[in-house]
Amino acid sequence: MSRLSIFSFDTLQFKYKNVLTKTAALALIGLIFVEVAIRTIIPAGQIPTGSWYNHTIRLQYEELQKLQDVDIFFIGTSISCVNIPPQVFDEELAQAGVNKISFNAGIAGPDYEGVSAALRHLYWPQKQAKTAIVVVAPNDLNTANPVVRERTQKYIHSFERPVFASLAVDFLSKFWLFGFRKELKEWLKNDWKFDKAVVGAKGFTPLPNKQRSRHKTSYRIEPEGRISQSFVELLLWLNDQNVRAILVRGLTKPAEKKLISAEQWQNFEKVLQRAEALPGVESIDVSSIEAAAEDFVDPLHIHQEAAHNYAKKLAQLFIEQNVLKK
Amino acid sequence: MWFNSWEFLYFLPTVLAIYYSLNKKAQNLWLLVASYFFYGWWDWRFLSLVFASTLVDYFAGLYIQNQQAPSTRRLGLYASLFMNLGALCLFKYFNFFVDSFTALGDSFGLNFNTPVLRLLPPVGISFYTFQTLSYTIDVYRNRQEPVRNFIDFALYVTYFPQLVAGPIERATALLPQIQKKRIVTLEQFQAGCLLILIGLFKKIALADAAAPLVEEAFANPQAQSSIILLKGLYLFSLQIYCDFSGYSSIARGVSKLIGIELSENFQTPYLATNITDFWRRWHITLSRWLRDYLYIPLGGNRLGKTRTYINLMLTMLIGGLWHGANWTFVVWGGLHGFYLAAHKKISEIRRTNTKKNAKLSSTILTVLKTVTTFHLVALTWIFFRSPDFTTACNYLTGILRWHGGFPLSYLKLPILLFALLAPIEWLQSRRFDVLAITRLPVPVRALYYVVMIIALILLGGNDVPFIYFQF
Repeated sequence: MSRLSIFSFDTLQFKYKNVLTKTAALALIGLIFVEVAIRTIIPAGQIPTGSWYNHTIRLQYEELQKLQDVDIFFIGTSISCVNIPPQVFDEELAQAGVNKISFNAGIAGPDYEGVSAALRHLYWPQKQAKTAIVVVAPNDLNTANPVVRERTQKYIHSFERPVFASLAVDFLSKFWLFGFRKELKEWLKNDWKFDKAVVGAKGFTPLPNKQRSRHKTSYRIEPEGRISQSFVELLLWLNDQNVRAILVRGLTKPAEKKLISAEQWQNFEKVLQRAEALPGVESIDVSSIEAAAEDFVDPLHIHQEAAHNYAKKLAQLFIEQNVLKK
Repeated sequence: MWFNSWEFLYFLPTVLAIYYSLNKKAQNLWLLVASYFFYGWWDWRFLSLVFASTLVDYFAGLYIQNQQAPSTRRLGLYASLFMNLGALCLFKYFNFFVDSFTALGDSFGLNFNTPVLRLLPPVGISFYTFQTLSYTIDVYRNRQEPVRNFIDFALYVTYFPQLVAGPIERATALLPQIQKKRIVTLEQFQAGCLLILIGLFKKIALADAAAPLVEEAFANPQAQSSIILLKGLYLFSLQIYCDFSGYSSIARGVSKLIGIELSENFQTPYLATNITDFWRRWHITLSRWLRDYLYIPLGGNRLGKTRTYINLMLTMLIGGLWHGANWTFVVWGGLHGFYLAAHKKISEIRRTNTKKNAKLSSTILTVLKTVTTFHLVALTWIFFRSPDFTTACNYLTGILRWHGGFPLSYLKLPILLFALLAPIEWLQSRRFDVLAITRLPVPVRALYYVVMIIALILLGGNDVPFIYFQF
């Protein structure tokens, strides 16, 4: 090397191969063993998280990729993706001569701020639709649930990761120990029961007819608050994309409705009125097709069979009111 | 840039790969560029302050060396003190003192129209200020030759592994390593990697896992049962230790990969048997700094017993204030000062009385002393963690006026986290070296690495910034 060179390559005083000691090799074998064990525990068909928050989104995203075109996006939280199977909705429309392909882009877990982020960052870049059925219930705009708020931030953070961070997380997620870390943690907490994520055709997330426990929460809907603002901004954004937005009030179990005070209902309605006044937004009254109390498996979600019936009724209502032919 | 961030995952290998290929002169320049990039990642505007501090101290060192008369030498020292302490006061303490002054005026019915400066304190300002101050003071005391190479000196000030949260290195320890040619042996490389793993494990798997429950307990202590408050306190004791010692461990590990040894900052502090012992093991580099540049110049223990206690108390009060611009930190420091003074007094009395009977076996006595010391320290953490006095008092009252039963199942997480930490602490306490783990039999060592990695993955994910970065 010339005297003028800035290189010398003499700092490291060992050969790279020596780094792999007996201990490191043994630890590596241990990790491989754990990885294999995890792959046997986790049911088939699940996809590791990757850089996004959870594997349910990955499964839903895969379903979206299977579709060539999408005419209608159902947008909302789990109140959308659990309660409305698009396949049934589309079949019912087809019987009336309206041929549409819909996809349920409802995101289970976050509030509307997270829903908005998921649609903009994940689903919209993949497929665009001309119509959006925006499902919204009081729980979706509730600011009084810190668990959902925190989870929402994690969702958003995962969608908005810088490229280099996404690359690293995606690579590490190829190891299921990392890719399913949140699910494994839950698995350890919940008496070693793995909560398998099921995403059906066109983004529907069915729930079996079995009662589920859910943390009780109080309700506080702030018409000018961050979540309501995100909801309104999402509608404005849809309008910018030339998308027709149809507002639908989402399901809530009758007993749960009673927990919401008159003031909070008023606040909820205030947000919806504000939304209805936005350009490109219309709303449809679905109060006539409300699900029965026994259809609910928890305060917000109905079971799979009830969801089929609900989607049929919803489609019929859309046909009756000639909403999709406009 | 945080050590536990994805950015750092790219930053470190890139820096090392280029660093290993360069010669010594280029290496220092490269490390300096990397350090500025590392620090500027938070906010590039912070760089101007570090650069200004570097410039002033560099020239102050040379100026002091070139002067013969004590008065002119002092001028150089004052310039450095003015620059460093001035910046620290302006960014960190200005509003605190103004607010305190206003509050004092209000209590006497006087309404002062005081100015308000909303300045974002640069990350780690307290750390690098103390480090650069030690340089000029040592040059002034003729204990350190001033550095003539500006790159070397700038690297001493901004060396990225320890720039934002220490260890606070003395010029006498760090500068010679910067100035000489460095090599990295296999043992150093492996030790560096292990220290990084231990640090990440402590930070991500233990400290961050405890953080949400600590937050819950301290957010509204009045609404919590006593057991939740106790759990919050134990978890915070673990969090603050694992967070900070985790950082120090990563810093030492990264530095080892560069070929520079940094001082150890923690020596199993929660296994201390008395409060003086605790301060020999907790944030060692700060304790030494305070001792050498504050306690001893104040007179130390040379001016009689009363002055010794006053000096001790003053040092700890300032040490408390160093942590943050809040009276709760001052109380935290004051409590430790009181503990230290009390321990000094008790030790003196003991020395005069001959030990006649030691009924308790030494092991039980050691355990008792350790548990007592831990709880005395834990008590002070209430003030350290609480945002104000009201919260701290509510927290303390909530524990002392026990309510809500004693459901032991609530303590499952603290027990799990302490159990995961115990092997490292136990080994370190026996061999006075955190790397003692490398002397375990191969299968045990491998098993522990696997446990650490799995815990890192499963318990992590809370993304909590390092607590000491705010100081």
